[in-house]
Amino acid sequence: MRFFFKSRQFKIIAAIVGAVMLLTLIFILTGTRMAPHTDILGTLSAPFRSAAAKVQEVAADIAATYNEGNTLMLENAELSAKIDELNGKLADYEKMAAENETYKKFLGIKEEHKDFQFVSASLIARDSDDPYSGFTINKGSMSDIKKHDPVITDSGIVGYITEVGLTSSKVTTVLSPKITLGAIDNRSSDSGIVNGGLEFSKKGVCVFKNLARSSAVAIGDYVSTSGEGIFPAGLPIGSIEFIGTDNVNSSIYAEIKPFTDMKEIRDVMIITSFDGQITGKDE
Amino acid sequence: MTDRKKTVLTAIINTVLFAFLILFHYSGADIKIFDANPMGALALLVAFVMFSSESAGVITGMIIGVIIDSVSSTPIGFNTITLTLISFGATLISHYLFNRNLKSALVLCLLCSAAYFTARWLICFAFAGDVVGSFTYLLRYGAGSAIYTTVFVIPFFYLEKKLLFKAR
Repeated sequence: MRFFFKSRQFKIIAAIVGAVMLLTLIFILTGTRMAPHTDILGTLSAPFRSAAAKVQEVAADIAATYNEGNTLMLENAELSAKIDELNGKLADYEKMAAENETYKKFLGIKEEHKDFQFVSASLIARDSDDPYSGFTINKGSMSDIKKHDPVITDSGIVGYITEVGLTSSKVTTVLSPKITLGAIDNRSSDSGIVNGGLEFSKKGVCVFKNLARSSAVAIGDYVSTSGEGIFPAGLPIGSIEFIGTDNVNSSIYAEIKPFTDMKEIRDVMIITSFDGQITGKDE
Repeated sequence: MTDRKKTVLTAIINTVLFAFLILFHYSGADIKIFDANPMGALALLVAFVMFSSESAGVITGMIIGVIIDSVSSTPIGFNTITLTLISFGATLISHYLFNRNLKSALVLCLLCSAAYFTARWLICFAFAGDVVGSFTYLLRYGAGSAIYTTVFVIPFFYLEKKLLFKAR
């Protein structure tokens, strides 16, 4: 082994590896951007990753079609039973219609916020090791995307940009514990913070925390951003599915099912600018 | 076939295999068993460093790390540093301590994948604020994935033995 360490070859390799490691360390300590070598490789490999993502989409569609055929008969039987049940629910039509109107308002959020500037992007890589469903998109600093820019879909909030490359960026979702955003219950106006956790992420939900015991949050309530932190106010997050008591303090928490299914995302919108946005200088 | 042609062919096969494994892993597709998700590229890297030269092993580890960093959700540079160190360690262990047989490959791959997932836990989850979640990741995701990854070294070991061992 000592011959290897003394060899000229080892010294050259050590110098190259040392230089790359040093460059990487510098970017870890100072930057929010990807290291240049990572960025270059990311840019070069972007077309291949896009192609792989498309292949994956086609494969998923074929698998879904096959599964649909098998389950069609079972579904028919189930649906017949549900017709009777739905007849009974007609009485609640007025209430449902009102909820639908509220939901439509959420979808029209883009029209309501004239100050938002959007960049659309497509998913090109999904880290299957990430239990929080993080992914990479095909737009970067060339499209004016910055770290901490909010990422949404037509359905609601997705997360924010955590790393920016030249032509790609990484997105952390609301299912991650790294993200903390101010939120408000649209019906009761109770406010708290929303973040994620591993156990919640498995269920595809995030947690609405720090709610007072006297709060009037209820299952089915819609929750949206309150404007505290890096997200603008009024972006829909999801609906409350479960309410529980915090084991640590006297507050209660609610599990929110995001309107956006993080595992099914293909296209997203990045809000690159909005009134009151926290810039790098503000941080 | 001349030695030069063999070397080029070996390089092409390994490049295609690494590219396929990385694209498969990061295209959203997975072959999970419960929460365990294998990292095929790591298993191939371990098999590769067992039969390649020391310098080729380290450089390959570094390049694979840089490529994975451009698509992974881990912090900047995590894979570059971790995979370079792992390939360096694996190179030294396989060349100077272990024999080049399947048992050694299995042990080495288990060590390397355990090191990778432990490092990932330390950097990404241990201090993320979700204490229960962090240990859940280590035991359910990390340990399972390390063992599952080790299984994949078996075909890669025989492939690299065929490709590289005779060439050396």
